[in-house]
Amino acid sequence: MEIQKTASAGTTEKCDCLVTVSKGSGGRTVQLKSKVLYEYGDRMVALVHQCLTKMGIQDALVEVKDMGAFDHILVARLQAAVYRSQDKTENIPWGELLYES
Amino acid sequence: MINAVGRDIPDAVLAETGKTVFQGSRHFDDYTYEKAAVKARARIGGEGSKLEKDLQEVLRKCNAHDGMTISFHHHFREGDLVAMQVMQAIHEMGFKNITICASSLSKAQDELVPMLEDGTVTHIESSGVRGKIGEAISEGKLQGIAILRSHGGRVRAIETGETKIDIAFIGAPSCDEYGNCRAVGGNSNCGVLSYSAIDAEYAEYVVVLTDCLVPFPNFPADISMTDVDYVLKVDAIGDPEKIATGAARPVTDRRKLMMAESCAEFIAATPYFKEGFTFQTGIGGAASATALCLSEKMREKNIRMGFGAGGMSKPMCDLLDEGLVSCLLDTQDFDLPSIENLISHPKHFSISTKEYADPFCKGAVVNKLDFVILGTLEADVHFHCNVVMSSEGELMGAQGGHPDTAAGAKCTIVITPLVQGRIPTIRNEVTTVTTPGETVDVIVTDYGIAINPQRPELLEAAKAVKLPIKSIEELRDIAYKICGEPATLEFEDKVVAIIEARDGSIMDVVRKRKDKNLIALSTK
Repeated sequence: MEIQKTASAGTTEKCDCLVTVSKGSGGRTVQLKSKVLYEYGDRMVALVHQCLTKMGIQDALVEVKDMGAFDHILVARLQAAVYRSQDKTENIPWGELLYES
Repeated sequence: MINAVGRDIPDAVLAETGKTVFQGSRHFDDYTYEKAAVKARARIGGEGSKLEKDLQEVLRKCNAHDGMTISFHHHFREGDLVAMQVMQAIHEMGFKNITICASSLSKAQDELVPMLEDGTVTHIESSGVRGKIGEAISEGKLQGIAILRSHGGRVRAIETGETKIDIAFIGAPSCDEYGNCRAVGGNSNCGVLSYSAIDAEYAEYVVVLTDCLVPFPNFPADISMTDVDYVLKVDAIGDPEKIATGAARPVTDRRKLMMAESCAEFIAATPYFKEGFTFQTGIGGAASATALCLSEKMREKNIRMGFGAGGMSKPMCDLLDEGLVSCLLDTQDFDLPSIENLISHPKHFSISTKEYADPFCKGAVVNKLDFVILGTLEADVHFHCNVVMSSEGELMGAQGGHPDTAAGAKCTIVITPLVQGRIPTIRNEVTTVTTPGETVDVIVTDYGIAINPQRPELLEAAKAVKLPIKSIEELRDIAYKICGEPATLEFEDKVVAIIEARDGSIMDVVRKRKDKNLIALSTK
């Protein structure tokens, strides 16, 4: 899968996050700003990479503004942002990224 | 050296502060000490007025000097205008190495940060450091080690001479030209001046700032003319809207109500719930809702409360008006209805912080408490609580009366959601220990109640009414399942603050956090 244009999903409300994906420059970069950076930052960055791998995305810039979102919210926002970048709005396989395959 | 709550206190910190490590909450029982002697000046003649117009002139008359210790109180909370007026004048006069001994510091003192950076203020002693000062101290911008102590601990420190105040500044909502201060009767009423009583007694100089001069005698006085050196008339001492808010709306959050209901249920099941029981609660949503839920049980069983103590808000005053409480012992007012109630109700008494919580005096109200209901930022499997430091490693809260009431009350109940935002409240280890687990009996959460194994009789009482009892480890496991287990923070060696126990020993140290930056982190 490829990021085709810049797209976002989510909000900056408490316990949510705003995920913005855009085309990378030959690799994957994840930028995280988080209310819980010290306790959960590493885990969140790893989770984003894991999801990108599952979606087969090798080239992307992912910016996350996190307000204390739980893992499943981060995953859903990331997935929504990626599909929006491809203008895909139907038949999205929600939930498949949450579980170990 | 490892202390009684398992925290390693560096020898260098013990040497620098001259303190010992915490050895248990009753360790200093029967300890003999001499009260500090206070330097004072006779004013035999006097001109019948202590009125002054210029703050810098007052500072000169009080022998302001480099390295002095000055004190403030926080009754005006985030509306305080006293501390920064004084600090601006001190800054303009170029004094350095100042120690600030405040009953607490908040957002109202954010402007202190540049004064930390330029060496005007090098030491801070306070109940808490909220807002930008908390951030600045966490980042290591204060030259000395900050001392964070409870309200009772502050009285002890002043009374034993550990902290010697050169000039105390007291903001008085009303004052006469001879220094009789009242916490009411003006434009910026705060209800009580409890924290300042000890400052007035032990400071070498006492300066009152007021925006409302009234004719002599301003009686009954909260701070007496017998202790006051100068009275300074200023334009404003506080922003009334930020001092005391209107009555908070009743709690409607189902989660908090559920916690309050099970807390009240638990209280009613204990042997202490009987005619004349005594009670203190915080003003947080779940804590104040507990007072309401408990009042239903009291009406049901026809049981009245002997006294209610601590910071006051409308729900407790309503119980007094209804006759369900015999009297209120008030240390601080959080809303306008409680100030009005203090003025109008003859059984609503204001008490000094010494009467409230001093661990070394011969009798404090906290020791007469049956129940105290407290909040917390974190609690761990040892029942230790942290009320000063965020889980992300920044100073952001205040000890307040938390360790004092926990140590004094027969049954200390901490009420908190199991998870706050994404942060698990119940965890393996609190980031910083402020209140030792040996003084915490019960933790009420939205996922169940944990009872300290030290208190088997409370566990039996709770089982009798079928409350959702869980072990503290079970609560931690549920929290970790929801949030994921938090990573352990990394700290540098530099100690930026100590958490002082009530008795003056060291409960824990706060180290500077190692910076972490996940912005622009790249991985193939």
